[in-house]
Amino acid sequence: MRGFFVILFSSFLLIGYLLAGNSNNNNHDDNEFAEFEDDFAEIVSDPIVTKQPVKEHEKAAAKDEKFADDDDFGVVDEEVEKDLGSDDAPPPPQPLKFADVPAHFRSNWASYQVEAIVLAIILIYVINYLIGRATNQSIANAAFENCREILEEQFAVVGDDGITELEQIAPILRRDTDYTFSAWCSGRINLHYFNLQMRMVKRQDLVSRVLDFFDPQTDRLTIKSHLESTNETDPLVLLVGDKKTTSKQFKEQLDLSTFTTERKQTAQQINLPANYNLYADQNEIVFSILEPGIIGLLKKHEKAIEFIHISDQFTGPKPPDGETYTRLPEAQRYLSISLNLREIQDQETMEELLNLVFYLIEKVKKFKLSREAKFKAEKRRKEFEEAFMRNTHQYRQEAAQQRKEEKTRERKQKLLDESDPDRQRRLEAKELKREAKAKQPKMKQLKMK
Amino acid sequence: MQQQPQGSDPRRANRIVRFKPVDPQLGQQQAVAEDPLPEYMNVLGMIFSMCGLMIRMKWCSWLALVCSCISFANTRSSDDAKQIVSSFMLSVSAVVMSYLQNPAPIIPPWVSLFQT
Repeated sequence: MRGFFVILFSSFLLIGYLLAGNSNNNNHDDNEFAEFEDDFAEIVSDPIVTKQPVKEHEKAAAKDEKFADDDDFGVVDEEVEKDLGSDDAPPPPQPLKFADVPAHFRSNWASYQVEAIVLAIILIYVINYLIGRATNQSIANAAFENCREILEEQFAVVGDDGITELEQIAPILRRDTDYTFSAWCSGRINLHYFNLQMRMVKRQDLVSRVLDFFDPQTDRLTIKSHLESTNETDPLVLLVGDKKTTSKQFKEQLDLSTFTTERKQTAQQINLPANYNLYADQNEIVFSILEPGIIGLLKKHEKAIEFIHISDQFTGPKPPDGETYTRLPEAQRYLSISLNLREIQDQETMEELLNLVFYLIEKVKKFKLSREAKFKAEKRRKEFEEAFMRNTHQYRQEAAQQRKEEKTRERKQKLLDESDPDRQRRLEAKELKREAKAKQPKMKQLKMK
Repeated sequence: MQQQPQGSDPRRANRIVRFKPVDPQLGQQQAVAEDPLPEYMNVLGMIFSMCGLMIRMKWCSWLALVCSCISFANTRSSDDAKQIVSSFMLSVSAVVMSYLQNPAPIIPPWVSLFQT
């Protein structure tokens, strides 16, 4: 792809250069004063060579004039005599004097200052692109190397691209763009897939680097895993993490804003780091999932962990303002964790954090709510579904009406397009019957005896 | 914290879910909402190219080229390569055409400062 670009660009420049060359050659034709300029140049450039023949010619002419006895040419005689007199001391050739041409009309390379600056900017941008791209790749590869071993222990397939045969898949990181990388892992108990995504700072883009000074970003590793759900698994929605990120997640994700509330008191009770926020469906979930061992790990890696989101009702982000789902998307059991890669320098930290993820996956699978809590959670989900159906009733009705109208229009079009008159008549009769039926009041007819 | 008991292998080759690329349209919408910079640069590049081609503003042509570079560096996986190629072609042609028409350099703004 890049090679294609280079060839395209260079061929373009070549064409441009050739065209520019042609236009220079054609200058003579375009310029109306070109022939005068050329004559002037010849005269000025070669005054000494042309001087001698002119002198001889003039002398000969003067002799002829002297012997000729014609009054009409008296004036000419005087002039010729004057010329002959001046022959002895020829005037020195005047030095060429350059006209005062404005700076922008002088086409030398030094005047292309703005162009040089823009080209320098583009060159710096390209160099930064190459360096930034390589840096991002090396950081991502280093992070993936830190977790590759543990991933290979846990999954049957690491680094699936969806195309390669299963036996030939090598555990490598896939480069999605110059700043995003991913590795798809699958084939483990209790979960369908485990998608490891890395989003780096846009080091390859100079503009983003400048913007980064004002709003600093960080390299981020996000793990999104789709958990298996059975009838035995209990409902839960939980979000824990640093205040800034969690409040953003709470606003954006549909399941969090629907089912959870902020639990400040519970966060204090379980001794969560002061920088962390806690959102949960019910308090009971918090106590059973965030046990002291996990709290200890959260404290230890407080800066590295941005958030942990566990949900049985995950449907993705909220639809944009002014739009609503006409059909509720299928909820999935989901676990997501976001890590700050700048805080994870060694393999040990990475392995500790990945072990935490696998531990949470097992924990979520096994965890049980009390009967009351489970009843309450299920009731809440049912209420949400009913409210959704109520709210979207009008939308669905409109959609059904639209479909119906579309069908009627299609039928009528078919009737008009029909070439066979017999068949058209039959279709028309059918249509009339259908319309009469639609106009009929919808009630049962009672036969009176 | 409890670790996996030794010897129990969590891997299950029969439960493999293959990777499926996200729906390009859906992915595109999500990506645009997340980071709209490439879209802005594309539109700006187009506008500058048009200004360069139509009204022979040389600095517009150069800006269009810079915008195309930024757009290229921020390409997303869901983006169409054709769009980037056409953006580059348009901006390069704007530069070439404006200098073919009039090879005079751009008058830098600081020239007038020195002259006064």
